[in-house]
Amino acid sequence: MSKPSAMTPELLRELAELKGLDLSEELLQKLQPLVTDLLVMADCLKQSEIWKAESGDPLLSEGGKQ
Amino acid sequence: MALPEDFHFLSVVEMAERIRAREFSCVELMHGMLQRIRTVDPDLHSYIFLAVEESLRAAEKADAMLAAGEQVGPLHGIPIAVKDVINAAGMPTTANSRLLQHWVAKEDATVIARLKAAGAIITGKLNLNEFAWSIPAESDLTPPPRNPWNPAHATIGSSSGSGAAVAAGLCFGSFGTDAGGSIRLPSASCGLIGLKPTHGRISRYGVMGCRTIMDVGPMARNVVDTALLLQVAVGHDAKDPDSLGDSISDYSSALADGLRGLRLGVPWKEIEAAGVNPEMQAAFEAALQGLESLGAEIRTVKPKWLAEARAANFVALNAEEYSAHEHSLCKHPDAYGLSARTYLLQGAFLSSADYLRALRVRAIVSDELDRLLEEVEILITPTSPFLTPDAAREPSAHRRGGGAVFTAPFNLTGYPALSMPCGVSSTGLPMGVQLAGRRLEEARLLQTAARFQEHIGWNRRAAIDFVRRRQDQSVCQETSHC
Repeated sequence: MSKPSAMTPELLRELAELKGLDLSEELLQKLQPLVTDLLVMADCLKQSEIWKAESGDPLLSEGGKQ
Repeated sequence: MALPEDFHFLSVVEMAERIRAREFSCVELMHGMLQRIRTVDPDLHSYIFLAVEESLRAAEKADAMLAAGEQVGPLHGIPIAVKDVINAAGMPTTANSRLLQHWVAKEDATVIARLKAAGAIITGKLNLNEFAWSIPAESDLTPPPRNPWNPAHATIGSSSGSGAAVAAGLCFGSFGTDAGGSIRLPSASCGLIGLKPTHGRISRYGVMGCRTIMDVGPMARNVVDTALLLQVAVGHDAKDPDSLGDSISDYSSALADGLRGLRLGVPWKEIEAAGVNPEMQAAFEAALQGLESLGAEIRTVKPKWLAEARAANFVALNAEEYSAHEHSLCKHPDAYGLSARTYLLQGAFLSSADYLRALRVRAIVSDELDRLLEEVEILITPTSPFLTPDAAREPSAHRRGGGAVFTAPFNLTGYPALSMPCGVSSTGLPMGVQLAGRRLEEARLLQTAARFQEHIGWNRRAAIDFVRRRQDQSVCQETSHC
């Protein structure tokens, strides 16, 4: 699985504000490495070869038009 | 007859037989257990709530039933305690959070109702990581439980209080919850048998946690007790949408079978990639040799998509936890500990596409496991690569899946998995081996664990080894020769 770019503290703060979350600097600092790891996991899933094993739906398994 | 000195370490089955034979009363047993908890638990912190009055009243009622010659259940008079996310009517369910500090359950969870129907007495609620998803801290509502095998270490979570209480003889068995390894990991580190059953085999009605990947399961000091606790708890429940209606095995009868011809698959590539602690690796390899000597065939297997299964499990876990706590996190943020708040907020940054993609992975990995579990009956791994919670939380270990690297895939797929003891480390901490099997084949896992436990003489050997090691250490310290 490949590794996407990490979540920066600035991006995390912007995203939290967009979601209406009022988070302290301390909390944002603690969240940043955890959210980075979690989003890396989610992105790795997105890019995984596993979808080639999901047959029957070209949109899901092959991403549509090649 | 008075209670034996070591009554607290008798098996559930033996204690139940002695109660039915009226060697001692349920009230005598309960007084003995409550006294032991009051003596030992101030240093362990395994209990969040101790139900003194309720337990004694239930014990009196249990004695009256025996005196009247009434038919009694297999757990009659047995003190059992549960993780504090499982509702018991009239008792608080706090999840070890100040958010729920004063919340009292009005109704029993289905698993509690079934335990009570079998005669068990619920002595109280056991400690856990706040909402089962945080790093424990001394500032928690109840501080983290210590590991009774070596109190210098905290017990691994999240069913940490269950692990500590059962291992220390502060109840005869427990039920925990498991959404990534939270029954199996504390069981391994406390020298217990811990079983996460097939998803939906035990009702989750009245239990807090992720609906998609969490299951309730027993933790006990031996396989026979685990089988009995499982038997009592299983069965369809219309109140749990995922509850299974499939026929139920006789788990205790299956324990007598041997292992000849059983095929065990070892995913060596995954194990090598996980950075397993050398003592754990040696104990695992010794366990494989032991199982081979009992007639099992050990094969190398190459499962696909286990890394994806782990990742998908944590994406689903975080998305569902945030969904459950979103309102409270906004309205009462300060009622959460800092770690719980941080962990529970992670899911806010996932998209709906991330969550749905994680659920699609489940179907693909289940197909792959079904294929693999035609080649072998059981997949076997260390329960965790690590011996302590701190080692599992090192950033590099965390990125590889932490302590849950081998356990989490079976939460995503919902297949049954069990941790059984395989030895004790040089620091006095027990180590565990995980057996994962086909859907609804809990009986085969229990049977394998029973033969292995018998083979290594777990109860006897563990205690003797532990005492000897402690004696050796004190001799070393006294003579300064080591």
